[in-house]
Amino acid sequence: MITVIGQGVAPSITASPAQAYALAKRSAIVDGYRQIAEKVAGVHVEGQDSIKNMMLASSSTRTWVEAFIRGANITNTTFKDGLCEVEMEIALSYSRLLH
Amino acid sequence: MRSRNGNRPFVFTTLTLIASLALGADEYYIGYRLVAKNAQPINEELAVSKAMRPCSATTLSSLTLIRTPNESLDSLLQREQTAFLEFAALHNVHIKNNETLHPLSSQSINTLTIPSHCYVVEFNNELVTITLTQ
Repeated sequence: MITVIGQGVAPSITASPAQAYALAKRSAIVDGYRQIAEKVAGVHVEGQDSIKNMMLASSSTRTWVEAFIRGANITNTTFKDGLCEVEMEIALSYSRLLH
Repeated sequence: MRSRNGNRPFVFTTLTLIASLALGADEYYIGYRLVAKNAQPINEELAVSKAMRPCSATTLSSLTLIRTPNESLDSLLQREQTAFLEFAALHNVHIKNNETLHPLSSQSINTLTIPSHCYVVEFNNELVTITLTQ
């Protein structure tokens, strides 16, 4: 069982508090799925540092993840001070991972 | 002249059409995409299109929603979008994340996609039943 907590923030301009809550929750769910994907499928990491005259001139890191997910459940939702937190869980079986 | 085997798809389509009309059911393709940048949603799209070909007869699960009289599927889905998305997301979700980190700035873009699937939608007076097909 994998459990994650996704976080989301509402846009600064919304029509109503209800819309702010709905949008923050959507964003939190996306963040939760992202965390599940990171744990299940892994993360690609690419870093680049440039050195000029023995000094660090620039540094950048890029990470990306992409996955299909099925069967994740939302177990708890909280909304406080504009931040929505969604607790999500997904059950994994070893045989399913092998396939 | 049609052969016996060649008539089967035609008969099947006709029977499906008659059954759909008798039950008051329609078939729709529904897909969804949400893009969030730095934990804030920036773009959201729910696409609904009536199916032009009969969907698979194998059904997976259903969602029942309360409907106001003469409410269309589009307005119902707008009103009950959260419930529908939680139902649809249980079956298949595609997630894509890109993050870039620089010494003075960082950016995160998440894209969640619920691939288009065929749903059988049954309209009653007060209820709508949305069934996912395989």
